[in-house]
Amino acid sequence: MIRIAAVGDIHMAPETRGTLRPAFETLPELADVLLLAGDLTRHGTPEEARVVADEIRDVGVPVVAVLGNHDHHDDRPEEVTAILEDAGAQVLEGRGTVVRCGDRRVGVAGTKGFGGGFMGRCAGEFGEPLMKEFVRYTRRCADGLRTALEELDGQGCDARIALTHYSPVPETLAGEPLEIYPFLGSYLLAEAVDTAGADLAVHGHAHAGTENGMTNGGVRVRNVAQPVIGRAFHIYHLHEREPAPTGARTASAGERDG
Amino acid sequence: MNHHGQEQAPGAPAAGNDAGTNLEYRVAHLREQIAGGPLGELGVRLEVRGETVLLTGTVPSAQCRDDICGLVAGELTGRQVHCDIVVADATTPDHAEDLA
Repeated sequence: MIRIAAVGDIHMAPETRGTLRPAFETLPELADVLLLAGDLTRHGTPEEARVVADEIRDVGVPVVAVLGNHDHHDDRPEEVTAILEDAGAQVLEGRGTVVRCGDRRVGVAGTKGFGGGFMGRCAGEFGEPLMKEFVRYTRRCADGLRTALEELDGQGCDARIALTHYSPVPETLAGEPLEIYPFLGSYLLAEAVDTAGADLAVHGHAHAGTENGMTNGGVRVRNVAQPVIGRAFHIYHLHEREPAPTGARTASAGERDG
Repeated sequence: MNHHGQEQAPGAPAAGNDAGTNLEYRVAHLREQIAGGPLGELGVRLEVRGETVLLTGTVPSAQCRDDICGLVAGELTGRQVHCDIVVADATTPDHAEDLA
């Protein structure tokens, strides 16, 4: 069994320094890895990033993160990333990493992702340059996620997880106003997950959303925004995949491979 | 729940009134101010309920909640403001979900 701890949208700032540390110090007893699903700061300043860094430094389990829209607000995502990585976290954007959990290998592929909406109710790559770039940016994020998951597939992982800030499915947005769904996620992320295959998809961003969802390809989705889970983090117990018969590695990959 | 401001006598603005006094527009701009200004808080919902403005959502700190409630009460002086914003729970989970 692989124990995954996950939380997003902790929105830390100097005034919240130390609030999560007591809970994070229990992680070695409860989990093998901590996933951070973006919006770790309020405005994306280095000062706020240092608060997050102090919460996660030497926490006793590997920490894997993606950034969120708040972490970009101050236009210094590279500095935020460097501060978090200096504290031991791996910050993913369009790439994956393999984390050792005892004798198991867990692959995590990450991207912040972006909006655009969901099948039949989404933005199109048409019209004004800004509109086209909006959709192209989401597409690049989704392509990066798919490529990272595919690369992890060849690295003997016992489980693969897709980590994003924006949501891949509308189900986990239930509770948010329908009108803002296109700003909360994109089906392109779910398509990437289903094309490459994964055992779990974790995201944040939708504070008024719902925890549980699933992609069309049958991959479980969990919205771990802190206001949704109502805790410092949530824990998921993943079981290693059974060796699949040839040509049917997973339901989603089976669709891809025909 | 906190109450800010005092209730004003009911009565919708007549057609042609200055948009600056229209409660719906004022609340819309307040939403933008809370999301895009120094507060940077996108997780708070402001809704007009008759003559009252209701604030809901979860924020990371009591200071953040008080800043938002204070800002709205100050901007909407004379209106009743209900602040139902809560602070995020930072306790350790007491159970795990088994994804068998």
